[in-house]
Amino acid sequence: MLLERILVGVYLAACIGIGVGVSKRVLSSRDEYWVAGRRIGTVVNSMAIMAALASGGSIIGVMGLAYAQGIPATLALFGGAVVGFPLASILVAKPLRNFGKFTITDFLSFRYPHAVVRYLVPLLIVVAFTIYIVAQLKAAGITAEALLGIPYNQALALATVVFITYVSFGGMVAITWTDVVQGVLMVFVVLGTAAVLVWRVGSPAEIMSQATAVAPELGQVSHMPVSGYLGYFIIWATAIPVIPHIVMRVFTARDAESARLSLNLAMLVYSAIILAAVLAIVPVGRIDFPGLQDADELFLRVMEVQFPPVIRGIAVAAVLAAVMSTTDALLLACSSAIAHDLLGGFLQGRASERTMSAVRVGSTWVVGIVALLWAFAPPELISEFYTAGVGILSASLFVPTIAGLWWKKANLAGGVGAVVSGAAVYVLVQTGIVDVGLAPVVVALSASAAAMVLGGLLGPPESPEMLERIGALHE
Amino acid sequence: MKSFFPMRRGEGATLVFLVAFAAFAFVPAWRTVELWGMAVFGWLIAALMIVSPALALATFLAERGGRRAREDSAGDVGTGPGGGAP
Repeated sequence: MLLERILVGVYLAACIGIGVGVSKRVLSSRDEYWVAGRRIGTVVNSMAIMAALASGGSIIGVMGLAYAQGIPATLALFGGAVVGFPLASILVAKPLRNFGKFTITDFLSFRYPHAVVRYLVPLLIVVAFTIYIVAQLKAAGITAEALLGIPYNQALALATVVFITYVSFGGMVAITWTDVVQGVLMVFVVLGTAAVLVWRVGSPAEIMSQATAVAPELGQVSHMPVSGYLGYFIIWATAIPVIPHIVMRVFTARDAESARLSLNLAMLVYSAIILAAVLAIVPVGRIDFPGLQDADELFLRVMEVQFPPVIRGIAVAAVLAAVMSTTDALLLACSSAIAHDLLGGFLQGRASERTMSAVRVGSTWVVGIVALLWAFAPPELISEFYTAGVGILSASLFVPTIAGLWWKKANLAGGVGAVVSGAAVYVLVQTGIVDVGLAPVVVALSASAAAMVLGGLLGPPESPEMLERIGALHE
Repeated sequence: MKSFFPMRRGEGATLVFLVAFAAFAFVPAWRTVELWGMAVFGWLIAALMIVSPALALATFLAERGGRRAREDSAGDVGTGPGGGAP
């Protein structure tokens, strides 16, 4: 395991080096810290967007979910994310980039200027993203334990300290460059592994036929009610256009055109990774390992059996890359929700730039350490876990954001109602307090849309000045 | 006053097509019919994952091409012989 450990050690040191290297420039400016000075080019941004979305969940979790709940359920979940990209590209990328601020909260609290929006939205982001980060940490821990022989808790602590360090000091600039490296590594490992397996067996159809002959449930739609499949799909389709760590990447783009093209290119690469993992690696793993206790270990077991140590070392680095490229973006989004959305308005004008910088760095450390403590006792099936966390963001932010950008009758009453009812209904249905026999996100999005329509039709109309400013975002 | 801010026709058509494709994939009949061991529902979603990014990219590039052509022709009118603002 020495070679694998050296490879991973070099990789982690490089991440910290990038973060510390850019820290002097980044810590001096809010624009540099949150959105990398808004000068990220299209290709770099597309790889960074792909890496930010393709998390530990997209490598470890996607295969674990397919193993445990079948390939159709998994494709429903990750297919939703792929469909979410055109929604983001067409519906939000241009107007939000033209808006030119830092976070989704900035837009929503501008469009619906009310304390509920100003404070509830960042709180929801912090809660949902902490859950998301915990899932990523679990992926890092089990990877290091299985392939490097490092105990789970020690691996967690090490990975967490590394990415908190480079995020807190390097901000969006460090995240962008580490994400590009991480994205390339992920593409190479997942597509390369799938290609080797397909070459050995024959074709994806042949692999599927062999795997489903011994495990028919792998290809069946029978693991949960149909509403569950639809819920998976809708959560991710509606999350991508509003999920804060993707929206922040829209703000880093040079211009609106670059933001849109970046999203389009990112989803092409993301699709290829997910399809390669689910249609090639999972079936082979299901044949080789029929009775795994923890389904999330599937990819690591396949790598152990099918490939030599050097490739395994690169695979560990790729999984850690997937975890870190998402976790760093989540951490920065969480940090922005605290330091910029919640405290920024209060501190602006009262605190020095040095104090603001300390708050940015400190909030990153607080979120990271809370997630680390939670991850010491992690949940099962990480994809399912963080999808539930993301669901609350889809339920509460999708309708007010899209309506706020496109519907002229969207107003303050509708916006506040949509945020509150989406979040509240999602929590009630997801926790089982209310059971209506439908996926929680479907019920919550319906409630959010109903609140928006009622508020828009019955409440006072939006001012001409606001409509003029929104109209200008589309030009 | 129209209730919505205007959207380009190609973009609207792309959204409608993708929603229709997704709805077609979720038709109940595809859950029980199998192909190469997997429910057709799964294959349709896999196809959607290829069609969706390809179509969105094609729509974007076509619109960008059209916009640039219009800008070029507007520039030619402004700078060419006999052109210029009135």
